[in-house]
Amino acid sequence: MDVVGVSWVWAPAAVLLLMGVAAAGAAFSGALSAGATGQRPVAGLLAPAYEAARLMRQRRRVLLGADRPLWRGGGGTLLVAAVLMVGVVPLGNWTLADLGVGVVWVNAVDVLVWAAAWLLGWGANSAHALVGAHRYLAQALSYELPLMFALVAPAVAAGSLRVGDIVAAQSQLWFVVWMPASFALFCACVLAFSLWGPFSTGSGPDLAGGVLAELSGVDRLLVLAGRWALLAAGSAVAVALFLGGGAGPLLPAWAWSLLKTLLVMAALVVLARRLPLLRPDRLAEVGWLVGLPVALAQLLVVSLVVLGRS
Amino acid sequence: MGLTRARGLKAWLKGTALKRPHYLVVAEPGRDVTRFALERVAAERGWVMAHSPAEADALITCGPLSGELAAAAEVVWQQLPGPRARVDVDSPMGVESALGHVLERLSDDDFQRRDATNRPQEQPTDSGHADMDMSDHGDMDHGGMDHGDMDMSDHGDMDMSDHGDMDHGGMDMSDHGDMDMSDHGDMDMSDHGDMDMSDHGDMDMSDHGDMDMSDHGDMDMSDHGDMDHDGMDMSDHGDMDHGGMDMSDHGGMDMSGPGGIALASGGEDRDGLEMDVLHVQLGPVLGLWPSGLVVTVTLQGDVVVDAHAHHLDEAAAPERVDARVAACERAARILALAGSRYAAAAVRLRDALQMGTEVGSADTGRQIDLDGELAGLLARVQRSRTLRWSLRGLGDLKDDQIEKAGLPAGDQGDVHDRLIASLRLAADPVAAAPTSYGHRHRAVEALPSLLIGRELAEVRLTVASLDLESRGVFPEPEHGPDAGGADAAGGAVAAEAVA
Amino acid sequence: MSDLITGLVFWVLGVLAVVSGALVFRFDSMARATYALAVSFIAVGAALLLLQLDYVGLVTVLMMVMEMAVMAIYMIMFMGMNPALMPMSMVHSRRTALGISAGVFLVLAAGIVTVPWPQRRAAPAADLTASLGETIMGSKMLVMMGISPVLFATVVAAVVLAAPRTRYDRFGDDLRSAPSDPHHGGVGR
Repeated sequence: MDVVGVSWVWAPAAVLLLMGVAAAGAAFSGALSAGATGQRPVAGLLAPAYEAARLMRQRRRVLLGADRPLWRGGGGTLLVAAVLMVGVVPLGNWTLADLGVGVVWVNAVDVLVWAAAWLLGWGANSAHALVGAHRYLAQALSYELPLMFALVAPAVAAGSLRVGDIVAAQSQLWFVVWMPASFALFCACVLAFSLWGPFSTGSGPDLAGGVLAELSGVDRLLVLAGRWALLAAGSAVAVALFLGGGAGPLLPAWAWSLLKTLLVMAALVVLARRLPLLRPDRLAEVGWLVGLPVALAQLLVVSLVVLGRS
Repeated sequence: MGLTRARGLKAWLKGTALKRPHYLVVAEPGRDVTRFALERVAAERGWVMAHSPAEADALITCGPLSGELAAAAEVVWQQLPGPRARVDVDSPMGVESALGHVLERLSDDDFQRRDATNRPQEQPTDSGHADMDMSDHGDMDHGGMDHGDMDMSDHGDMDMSDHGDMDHGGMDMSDHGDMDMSDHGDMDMSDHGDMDMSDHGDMDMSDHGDMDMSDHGDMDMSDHGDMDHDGMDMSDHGDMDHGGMDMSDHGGMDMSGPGGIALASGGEDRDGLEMDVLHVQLGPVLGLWPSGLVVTVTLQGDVVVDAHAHHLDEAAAPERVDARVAACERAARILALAGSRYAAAAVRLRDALQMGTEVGSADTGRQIDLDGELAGLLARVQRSRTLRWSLRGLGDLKDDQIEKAGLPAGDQGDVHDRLIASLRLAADPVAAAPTSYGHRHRAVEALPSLLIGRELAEVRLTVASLDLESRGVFPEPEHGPDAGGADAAGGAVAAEAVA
Repeated sequence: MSDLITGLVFWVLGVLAVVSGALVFRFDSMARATYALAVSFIAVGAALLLLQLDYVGLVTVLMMVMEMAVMAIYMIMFMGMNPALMPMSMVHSRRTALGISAGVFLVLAAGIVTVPWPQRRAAPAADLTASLGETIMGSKMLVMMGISPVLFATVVAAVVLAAPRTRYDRFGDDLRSAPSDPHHGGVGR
């Protein structure tokens, strides 16, 4: 079963599906939060919908001295990045852009998030938001190299940068089995480029919301939705690169892709809730002295296996 | 038909939007019991505490605010994007009706429309720099101008249309934009002619006098327009000492950029990489922050290079908070700032403890359960390796620092140590002695020395881990740090409150 | 039809690249100038995608956005002032710069027009990325692999030399002891 590119006519459907998965993740997280504070989980399940309605009703703010194009541009970029990212991820056997260098595409899009996060903090012209922007950038410097090498491992194993080829190469054995470290690092980095959970110090409570501090109304909604969409898109990438894409018994391939994406996202949400905020000053050493060597060691193992097979 | 549907959709949107309002609390120091009750009831209803004014739908004030706090609340109120509602709660009894009032206000479309149109186009001097004639700047005390209640963001809510009204003409920025920076020598002074020099005349030149002119190199060159270019030797620019500049001077100086916002500038940094120097006021309106505490910090990037702390006046009749509740609140704050999943449990147990003290010891069965739960939380927090990894070594206070600040001996060590100590105190039923008063006055005085050189995250955690609440603070600690004597005084105040 | 669309997209990207590139010098704020440059590079990267040089195009976007994100911070630090609020010119030595850039443009444009470009003789390779890699690296792989560690060592050495605090500042005479840093890192040192 080969992954084939489908017409761009399907792009809106892909966007809707992405937003659906993102909303499901947000609802699941809301239910967990409600459970933790002793409320009915059902109320939490609807929390994202309530929040979206609230923000649609709230007015936007016009800040004095804010760099509006950069500020709003940064906020919108998150959602755009998520949409661009799922463009190369196959849903079962279909993909929108059957790009020969899909893995590099994913990486390039993740770097857009660097810029978006910083612009969001810078543009608001607020001290807390600016510190948040710097925090996100410092964090990005800590996770980017482990992320790159985690992405390289499946590409080396499949001998191709095409996401479809990587899915096909897992028909015998999912890559997660023999490159677990790359998978784990990639999942952590998905949380990181979603600017969410333990990697949300740049919008943390100690900064009065950091890059989110000055956002209201639809501007805020766009950023929050963008974060969830990035988490959903990253989960979909993890499924394609490490969990065999649409492979699975009984159900059609697209259903497996979707199901696995939802499961990865749920696992990430649960994991994120268990961890405290990973402040950049602590994360830098972990990223460079633990994450990077582990990613390189895993890549070495993968390369040796590939050499041995050929 | 279409109209009705649109109206129906709007009503539905409103109904959904009001299911989960976000609120911001401004509590008078010494109103913690009211605040706890508010937070508890709001959480039960599924309301969310906002991190910043931009996020909030409602501003809820606890107690009659006065002075600095009232001004800060006013600034915050101006920043709420709207639809917005503001209510005051003066006792735990009033919480339910206050929340009801908030919902009523938020759903009252006519009121919101009026509010939106009536919002001051001319911003109050307090928060609005926009309309100000730049010439006013010289006379204004920059420090007193609420840069701080608003940590730069205060400029926030302003309507950009004001921007147009601004006396930008007085400093035509575009001219400066075109100026060739390297060409200072041949700068065409006629450009300056376009500038309204009379504005500059109004500037407080005496500030300039205090300044070392060589410092100007660090300033944006466009500021030079304000200065006497002729008198300055431009060739010196290269040799200027950027590092030695005293940034504090800038506070007093008119360093205003467009819109009159004070400009940030650079300063010498510990790692040699120069970051913006920002003056930010932490508190009095700030989430997870001791009520009534105000710390003005000078930030370089996110490192605090200078700090000043003071307490606001507290309520005339402060509400008395039990030591265990206060300890639990402290722990909850540290946990929330650290992003720990145990924060929610700590808040819930704080409220349960508070309810327990209000009910009295009648419900002993529940009390025992509560003690067990607190012990469980303590055990889980102690076991959490990630939390220890996150907090270890932060806000490390040595014995002599503790002594100098008049803090209790138990406060030595890092934030993690104090977190465990707080939880231990909260979980210990026999330690239910009233909060020891008296030491906080000195602690707040000594606070800057404990904060300077630390990063903002560490500062927040350090402050959260110390008992700096102004509840029960007396101008002069008559009994010193001796807990027993001070308790009596605290008790007297509490009794007064009841009476 | 698809040629038309491709042509159209190319021109849009081309104009975007040039205009945002020019805006770098028109903007009066560091952040805007930096990100205008980033937009210009993204447009160039996308144009490379149109030429089916997927890898080169994406790497251009990846590296340049990353670089601009970091560069914005350095611009702010090294300018030693806050250009966020205060408009400032992005142009230095305007006349010289204009002269040089006009000259360079003319030389390059003349090159484009006058160089006898070779005609395509065969069909493009199936995998352009692989064949590009072969062409650039193929016969020189050993050299490249030798250079990599040298380059990396140079980077590390430069950072070590540039750091204001040496290991003796951090550890004292006994280099095995715990370092005295203003901040503890995350791996328990």
